[in-house]
Amino acid sequence: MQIPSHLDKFRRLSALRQRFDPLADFELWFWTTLTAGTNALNASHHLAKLTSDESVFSTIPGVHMVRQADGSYARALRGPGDVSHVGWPPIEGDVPAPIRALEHALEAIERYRDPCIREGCAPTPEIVRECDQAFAEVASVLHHYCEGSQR
Amino acid sequence: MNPESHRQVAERIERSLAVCGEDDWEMRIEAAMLAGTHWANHALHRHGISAYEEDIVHTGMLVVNTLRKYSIVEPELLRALEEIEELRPLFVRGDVDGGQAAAQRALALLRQIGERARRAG
Repeated sequence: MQIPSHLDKFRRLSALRQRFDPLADFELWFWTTLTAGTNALNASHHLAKLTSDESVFSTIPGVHMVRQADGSYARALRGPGDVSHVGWPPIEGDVPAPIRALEHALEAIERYRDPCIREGCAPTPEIVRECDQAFAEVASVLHHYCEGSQR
Repeated sequence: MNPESHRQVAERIERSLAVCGEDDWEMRIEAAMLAGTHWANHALHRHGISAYEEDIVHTGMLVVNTLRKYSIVEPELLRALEEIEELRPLFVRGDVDGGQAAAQRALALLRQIGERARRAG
């Protein structure tokens, strides 16, 4: 997906996550945080020229939804573009340190995904704090790449 | 997770949806997927066709034969969940026009899924 769309989603989702109660609405607060973070990761990948920002949309690694001549969308094989999660698919090549830091921050959030969203583990204020700190790192790296691209 | 826990999480997600507005179509679709999946697991466990340790995560990630097996008891519920899943690449991970309408459709499908799951017990 193209960079402006990633940035728009990051901005709107970042605003939405502030409206949830992190504990009472944990599932959607967490998922909004993770989805915003994944948009930041993909925007940073594109800005660093690591992946294509072609207007096709990720499903499973290597398969994207691609617009057809009649306006409909169908699955098609494509090279590296948007990732759906950190490392899914892995990004080849020399990944700059700030993007590695962003990936680690997103992983710090993702590690609570299955336990807290799918396996019934109760969220705690400590988990919320960890996710908040990691998200601040995500936002900081994205800001770094956006600033860099405007120079 | 046991069926009662799935129901509680699904209902909590449904309550949290009140925070989302028309312009939050991504999370409305994602909420439908998350709550719908908990409802699906609730129903499949209640029918006794899946073990508590065998929760589905995405219909698209199921082995074809497992999906066929589950579809014997809950065909319409699983079709509705699959339809929600198909909205995600275009409107959550993509920027195709029509996100608000897609979210409305996802929420309508979630209502159908919840009704069917509650009938399972």
